[in-house]
Amino acid sequence: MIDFSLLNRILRTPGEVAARCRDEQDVNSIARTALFTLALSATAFGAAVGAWRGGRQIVFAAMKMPIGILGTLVLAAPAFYALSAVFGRPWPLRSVLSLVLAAGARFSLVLLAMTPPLWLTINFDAPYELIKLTATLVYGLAGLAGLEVLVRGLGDGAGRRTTIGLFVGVFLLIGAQNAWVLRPYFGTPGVKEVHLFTTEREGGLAVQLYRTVGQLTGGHR
Amino acid sequence: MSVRDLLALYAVVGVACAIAVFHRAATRDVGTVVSALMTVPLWPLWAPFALGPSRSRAPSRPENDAVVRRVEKALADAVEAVRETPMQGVFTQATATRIAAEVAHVAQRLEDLGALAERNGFDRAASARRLEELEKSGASERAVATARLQHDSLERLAQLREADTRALEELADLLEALRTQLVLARYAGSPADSASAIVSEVWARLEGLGAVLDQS
Repeated sequence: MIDFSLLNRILRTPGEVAARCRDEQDVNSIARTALFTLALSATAFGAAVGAWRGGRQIVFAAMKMPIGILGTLVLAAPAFYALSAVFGRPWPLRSVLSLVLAAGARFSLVLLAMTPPLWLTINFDAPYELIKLTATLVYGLAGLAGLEVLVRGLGDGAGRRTTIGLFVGVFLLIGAQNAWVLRPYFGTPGVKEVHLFTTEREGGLAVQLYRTVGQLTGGHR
Repeated sequence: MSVRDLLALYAVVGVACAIAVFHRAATRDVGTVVSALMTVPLWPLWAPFALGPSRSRAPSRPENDAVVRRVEKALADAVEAVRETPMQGVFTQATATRIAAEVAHVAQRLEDLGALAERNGFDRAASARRLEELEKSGASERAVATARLQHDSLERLAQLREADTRALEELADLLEALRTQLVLARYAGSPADSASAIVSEVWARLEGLGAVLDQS
């Protein structure tokens, strides 16, 4: 199911793996390994995040983390296919998807590597805000690691920066909305009840951002 | 359309893709079931791979492609010949599927060997020329020995590929004979003993081919 030598290459020589994706070589193996790695790594990271609350929250967060990440890829990968085609790289669908999945695998391997430090931070009773900040930094680091595969995969030439910039924008938007819908992961401080999904109805991430900006500027309440 | 409707639609497409993945698979094993199950939630990411052309089922070299087509046709005819007869136990659909998968695997390995032979550094003629040049120019013994080793290795690789290509063609002949034997048994009402012996022979040859290729 999982080709460990491929994972090693994704970490150490992302350019070589990206070239194989582009040339449509071994893409089935790359896709299968990436999907399993993503699911397993995200489950482990989710369990560590849920450990802040403990109990059922560990199971809930472990279930929701892979759903959130894979769901984001499901929705964002077609955008990458379209963007790369529009900006000068009309590659086969399987090439583009394998490239996105290889990037996702690298992202998830960094998440997995950072799971023990995050868990230790929680275990040492660090403040809630510090734990959230740590998790955010881990996401950022993992995102940069995954992005390298995409950048190398697109290669040199016109349209690379535009493709990457637009895709990152689309990915962040979808990822943030997915994460918002699937919350809570840590749980809310002071709230003892544990829910699989939040029961609040606030209109999604975009509405919340709009309200927050409005509150900061004194326009909306 | 609500989010629930969209999710239901997504699931319906996922199930349809999963059924297609299961039916298109060359073999029906745990891997196929896992692949089909993965397709349900992840069809936008996984279906293009699971439903796309598999390298093992589509050798691009015409000679390999022709042998695989002959084998597939012979197997399909053989399964059809034993349908609803007492010989169904001699040659089942599962047996045919397994043989087809093995043959496709062997053909793919031959394809890889063929592709290898066309790469830079694997050219037999070039290695022969290089050896001849070194011998004529009075190069050191070590340089000549290295060039000879390279040439001999490439010769062996080519011989191996030719032998395996022949073996695969003989296997296709054998499967066509099996098909004819089963058709004969169906219409002449003769016992299927000889067909059973051919099936055993087919497996023996496939195992032989696989062993040789694994060593290579």
